[in-house]
Amino acid sequence: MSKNTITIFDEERITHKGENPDVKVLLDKISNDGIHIKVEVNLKRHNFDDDCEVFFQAYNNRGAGLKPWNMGDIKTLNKEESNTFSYFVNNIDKDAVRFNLFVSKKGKFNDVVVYRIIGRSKIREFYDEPDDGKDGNYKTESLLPTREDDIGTAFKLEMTPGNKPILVLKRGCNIKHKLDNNIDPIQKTLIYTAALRELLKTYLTDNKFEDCPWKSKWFEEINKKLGDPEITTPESLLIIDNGETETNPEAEQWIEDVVNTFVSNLPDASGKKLIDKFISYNNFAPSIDLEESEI
Amino acid sequence: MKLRRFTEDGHNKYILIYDKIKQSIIQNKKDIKKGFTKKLKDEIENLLNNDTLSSEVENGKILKKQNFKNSYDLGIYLNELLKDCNQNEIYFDEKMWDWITLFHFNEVFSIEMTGYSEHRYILNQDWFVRNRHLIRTPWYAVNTYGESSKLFLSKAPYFGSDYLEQFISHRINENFIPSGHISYKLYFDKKNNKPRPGYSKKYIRKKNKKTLVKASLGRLIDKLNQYNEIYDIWSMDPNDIVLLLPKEFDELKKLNQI
Repeated sequence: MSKNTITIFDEERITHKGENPDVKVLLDKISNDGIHIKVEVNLKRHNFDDDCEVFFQAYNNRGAGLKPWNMGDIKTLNKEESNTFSYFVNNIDKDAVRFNLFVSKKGKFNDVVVYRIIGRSKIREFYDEPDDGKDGNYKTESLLPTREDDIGTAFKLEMTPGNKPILVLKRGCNIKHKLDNNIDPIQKTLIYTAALRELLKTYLTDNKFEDCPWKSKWFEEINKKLGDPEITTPESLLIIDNGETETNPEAEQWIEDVVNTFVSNLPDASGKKLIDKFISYNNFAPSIDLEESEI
Repeated sequence: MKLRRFTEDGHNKYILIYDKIKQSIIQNKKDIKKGFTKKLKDEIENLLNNDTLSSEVENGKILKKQNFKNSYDLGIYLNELLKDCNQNEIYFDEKMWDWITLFHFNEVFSIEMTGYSEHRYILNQDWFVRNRHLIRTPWYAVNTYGESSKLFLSKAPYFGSDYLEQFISHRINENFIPSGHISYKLYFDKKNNKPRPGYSKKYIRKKNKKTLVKASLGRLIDKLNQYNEIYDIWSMDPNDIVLLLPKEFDELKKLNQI
């Protein structure tokens, strides 16, 4: 009876977060046609052979990977304490980008030359480095990142004091892809208008957020964007007068101004406002009804 | 005429005209010949001749009305036409792609076709429909996969292709260019200069049962996805990847003398 032997090749886990990770991916700069990143690598603690090659690959959150960049062999990389590489990732949004760092070793399988992956790190976010040790104060990230989850509604805002607010989008219906890649101005306008209103109303009514560093960051950004010293940030959305509670019309107007600035008047790379694209798509865009006939 | 792109107004007019064409076909019981009336043909012609609704594209060359034997020939022509343009700028420039579609409308809109979805004539960046565009996709396939794109573009310019639809819907193929060359090597019959029939669909219905087609393009993509998890396929020779394929591909390898 013939006997088959299978050789199992272990894949070593390369870390990318926490203290002293093996690889740090940092967002350096955002430009109109892509993002500039810096990658720091130190793989010394792993016992990879000197002739193994290290590659770094960027891909989008839908899985399309770019050709990996060769960082060099282990022997060369291990000569330095840490190695820093700069890359430009074309045509990708910072919230949609993912990375893959892998170590490969040349070998054979059934007389065919193969390059086995023997170490890997799948990186879903930029390295979040605490800034000057201040709690919760992080660099470079979006103030309202998106995340997919199995929720009942199409989207919801997730807010907890001390944490960055997150726009949670229903998984499996393509919304995240459309928002992250600026594909559908109708969905983008409607979702962000509602989400931003809810975010501001929560910050202006819920006392639990009084000391939230993310509330401060949001309000700093709003003041910068509004750029009008005459407009004062309201203390609260509610006025309590002789035990009666009513909404503050100035705060309501402030919320509308902020949503206008951050959503409706948001320009794209060519300077076109989101609200104008919304109008144009609603009036002229073709329907997406699919036909049974040939595509 | 030199390469142009629609203005916002021109693009909106084009979209409205195509919507009218589609509605007219539907009202005429899906008869394309009856639905594409003289009036609508004139509207297409007038839009093309109205210089105020489009503007010239930088580094664009001269377009010539001509017949294309198949989408591959159209792709070669477009690749040449656009080679000096900024590739990043034109990549998803709907106003340019749709203007080229207008210019070559009679090449991509025919009474012989069976579908008339707007996504064939109006570029939509949505991943699910973007590759249905009958002008941009031949350019994209030739520009990305070179001669190997013959596998996907062998039909007349007004038809989509099963091989293309099956291939392009998988993420791994978007940037792993050798997958296009491997597919061409296995599924294109060079002797007869056409794709091998029977391998484009991963599943077929046999005796009312969904049946897996062995060695089909879908199976090849399954294997590539698997290899991508364990091997650095980017560093491997495409011929070596073909040699790794399991027994079900042996017949195809023999046919192609691999």
